[in-house]
Amino acid sequence: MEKFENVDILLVEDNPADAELAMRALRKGKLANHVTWVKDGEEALEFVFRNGAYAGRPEQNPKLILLDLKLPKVDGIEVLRRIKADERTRVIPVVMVTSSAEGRDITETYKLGVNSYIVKPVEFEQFSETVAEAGFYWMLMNKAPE
Amino acid sequence: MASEPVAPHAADPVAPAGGRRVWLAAILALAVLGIVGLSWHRYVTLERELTETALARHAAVGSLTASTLAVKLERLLDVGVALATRVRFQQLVAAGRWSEAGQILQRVPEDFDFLDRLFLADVRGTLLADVPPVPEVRGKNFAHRDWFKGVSRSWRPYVSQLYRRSAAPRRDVIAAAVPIRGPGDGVTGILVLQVKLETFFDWARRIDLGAASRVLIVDAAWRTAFDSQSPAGAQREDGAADPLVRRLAPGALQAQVVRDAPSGRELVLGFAPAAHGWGVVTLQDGASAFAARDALLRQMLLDGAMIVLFAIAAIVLATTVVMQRRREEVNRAHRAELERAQEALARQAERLQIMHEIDRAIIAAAAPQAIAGAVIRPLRELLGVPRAIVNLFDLAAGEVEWLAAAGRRRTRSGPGVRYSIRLMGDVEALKRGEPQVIDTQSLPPGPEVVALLASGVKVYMAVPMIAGGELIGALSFGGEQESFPKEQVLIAQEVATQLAIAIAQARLLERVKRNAEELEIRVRERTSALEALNRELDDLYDNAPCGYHSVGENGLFVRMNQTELNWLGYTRDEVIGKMGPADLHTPASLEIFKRRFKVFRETGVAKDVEYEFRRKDGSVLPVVLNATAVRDRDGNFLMSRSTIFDNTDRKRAAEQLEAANKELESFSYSVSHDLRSPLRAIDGFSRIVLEDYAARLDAEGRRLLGVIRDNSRKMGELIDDLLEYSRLGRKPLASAEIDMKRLVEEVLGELPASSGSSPRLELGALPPARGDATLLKQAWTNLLANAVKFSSKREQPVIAVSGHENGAQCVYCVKDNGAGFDMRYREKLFNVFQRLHREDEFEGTGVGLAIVQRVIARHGGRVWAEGKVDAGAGFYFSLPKEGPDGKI
Repeated sequence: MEKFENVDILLVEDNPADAELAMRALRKGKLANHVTWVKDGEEALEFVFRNGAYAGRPEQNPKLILLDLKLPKVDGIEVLRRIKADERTRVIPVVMVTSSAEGRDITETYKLGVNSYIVKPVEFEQFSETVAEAGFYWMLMNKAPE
Repeated sequence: MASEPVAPHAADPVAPAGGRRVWLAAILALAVLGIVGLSWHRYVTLERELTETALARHAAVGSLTASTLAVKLERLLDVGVALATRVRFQQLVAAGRWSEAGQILQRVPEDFDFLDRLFLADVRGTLLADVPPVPEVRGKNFAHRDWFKGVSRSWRPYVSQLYRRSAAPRRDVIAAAVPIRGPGDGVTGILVLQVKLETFFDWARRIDLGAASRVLIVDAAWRTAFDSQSPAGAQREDGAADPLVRRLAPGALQAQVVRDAPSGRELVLGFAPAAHGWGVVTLQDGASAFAARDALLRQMLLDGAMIVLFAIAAIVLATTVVMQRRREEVNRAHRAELERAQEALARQAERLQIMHEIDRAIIAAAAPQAIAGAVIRPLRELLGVPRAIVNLFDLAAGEVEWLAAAGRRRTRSGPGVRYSIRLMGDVEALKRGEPQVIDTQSLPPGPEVVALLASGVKVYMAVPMIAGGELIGALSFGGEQESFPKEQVLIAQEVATQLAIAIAQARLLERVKRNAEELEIRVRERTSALEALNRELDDLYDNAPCGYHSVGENGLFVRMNQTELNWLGYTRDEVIGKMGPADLHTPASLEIFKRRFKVFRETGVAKDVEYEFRRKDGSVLPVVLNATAVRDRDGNFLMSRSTIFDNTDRKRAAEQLEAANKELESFSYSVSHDLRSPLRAIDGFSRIVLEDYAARLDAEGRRLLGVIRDNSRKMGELIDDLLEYSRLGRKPLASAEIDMKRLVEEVLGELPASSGSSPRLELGALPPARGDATLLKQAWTNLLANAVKFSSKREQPVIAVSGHENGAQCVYCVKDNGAGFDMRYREKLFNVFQRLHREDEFEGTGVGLAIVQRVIARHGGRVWAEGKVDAGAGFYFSLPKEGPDGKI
């Protein structure tokens, strides 16, 4: 459990290939020191709210959540709603990462208070650049007072 | 037509003397006027004199009263002076022994009943002794009283104005103030005699001015001290407040006639000055003051009227006698003439009577024969001849036919007897309207001549009957006489004219009747043909494959065809005049209907409106309705004429399409997510291999990985375009006015620069359009990008954009001088993924034109293209001017 200490970025992504590409992009952007990858919405919620498998995690919010929209079990929108609905976790910046540019989804997530939105491009360079940029920006923005 | 003999007017017998009569009347009127004028002048003069006399009498009484008042006031002062000049009294006052001085006065009131009280005051007005004693006022200063002010002005005896006592009883009094002089003739005190008004002025009650009169005694300030109308002891009204008294000019003796404002009564108002500023006001009702005058004047008026009446009566009597005499003379002169006129009138009346009978006969009878038959007898009597005949001419046959004939004994009518027209004399002259006189004996012998002579006709006259310029017959009459009097001929001509007209009209009427009968038959034939046609129409209407109905002004059905009735399951009786569209619509449909029907009544057109009707069994019938309004000549709505199509199939198809669209949407969504993920992995991991394992790969290996990455990127583009294409079908269409020129300029500005030479743009005029700006921008983008792309290999690429209006459409065109295409494949151009060029010539996914096609189709427009290989291409699209939502 010690590896969950000082989590900077929580990556929620069910597709292992996308997850690996994202991790690689974050690593390249020197942001991968404390990336935790969870594979579905349920696990993401357990991690954030420290219950289930993550019941023993120290009380510390991740500095950024990269959240895929289409997830097994609990989908990305629901995860986002729960995070933004809770007083303790509302402040965590959440960046939606998705392959869909469907307008409906974008509107919905903005209503729920998403901080940013990334459409995964097919091209790797573009993808890694986008992910790294978003990660960098929000990590900087999230210099919490403590 | 006069039906009564007119009574002869009685000639006015005095009419010739009219001028003289006017003169006589004028002179008499002048005489009467003179008498009246003189009398009136005398009357007015007398009235003035009598009025003055009455006023003078009034003033005299007032003056007398005023003199009496003056004497009374002097006497009052004399009493005061007599008291004040007693030596003992003067000594006591000079010595300041006021109470002793007062003692002297103790018995004075017993001698003078009008004295209220007496008191002594010092020269400053302070009361020091009084009789009878009122302790509360003793020592009080009364310098403010009028008596003090008056007496102290020059230390002479003074009669005060009215004032109110300061001690009880608080009634109005006046006072006489007399100075008391000491040994050195200096004033040492004042003796005041306070006077009871009622007692003091008691004498005034005896003054009689006449009935309804009033006497007021007023002080220097015009306050009333005495009023003859107010009972003794009552509170008096203040004289100064009386509006009548205020009309008086103070000071001088006067009497005048005034009008009392509220009642409008005439009053005589007078004033007489007395002494010490006092005066007497006299008031008397006009009626009583002027009673004598008025009686005299009335008598005089009566006398005058009597005189005038007598004068008029005398004049009238004289005139009547003169007139009567004249009238008798005139009557005698005119009587003979009158009798002649009456005779003529009687004849005229008889003639009119007969003419009237003839007219009546003409009007009543319908056929020529009946007319002639009705007329002939009275006519013969009127003419006073033994024989009269109405003849009809048959000019073509040269014959004459009897229509009716009357002799002394018999009358016969009806055709039958025909004879030669020569018996009528000169036909040409008859045609010109000239009556012919024929001597029977001069005629060629024949049975007619014999018959005529046998019936005593030696000479006869034929008067032509002409109607509408045509000679139709003649009226013939005759006897033994040699000549025909003028009057007789005139009567015959008159009747002949009437007869001619009546007969012509009767003939016309017969013809009209015949025509009307024919017409009636024809109408019957037409009507039955029309009825057959109507039945056919009804059949067509009822059994048409679509529904028809009409809604009247009252919102109820006025008709509905059988097809629609069958669809709805109602009978005609259940619907017509009992139900309206509102009863048929489902609630949702009714909302639309209410909105639309209002618009429809204005515009008169409803086009392809979708409604839902409810059948009698409750099931829903979706329909498409088209309607036009039927209006009256003034443009008022009469009813609708609606055509109904069963929309069930279309609706079902639309629902299916909707379902298919939904399916496609979820499919697109999956494609978007699920197809892109593996592609990203292929591209990403190829890249990782290239980055991390480049050293271990030879050139061919790296190239192969490059090909993999190229293809995955391309597939990504394909997926994006495909998604865009499918999205077009689902997005709701916005509609707004679009400035196409600006839109094209905007698109051109946003196009990525081409890899080849930069094209020359020729931008023509573009008419504005209605539609979805986002979608149309997409269409323009694709068309313009295509033009740029396919002309990029020219040395000088040219792209021309133009547009024009074509009827209800706007047509736009993009032309380039690029690679063009083979017209054989033009149909394929707009299919998805369809490409006419090789990938290595021009890149592309083959979705661009398909998107254009879809956008334009959704706007209700059309896309087409023309081109030639290597000679450029032109892409056209049209948009309806009314926009994509142009349905009414």
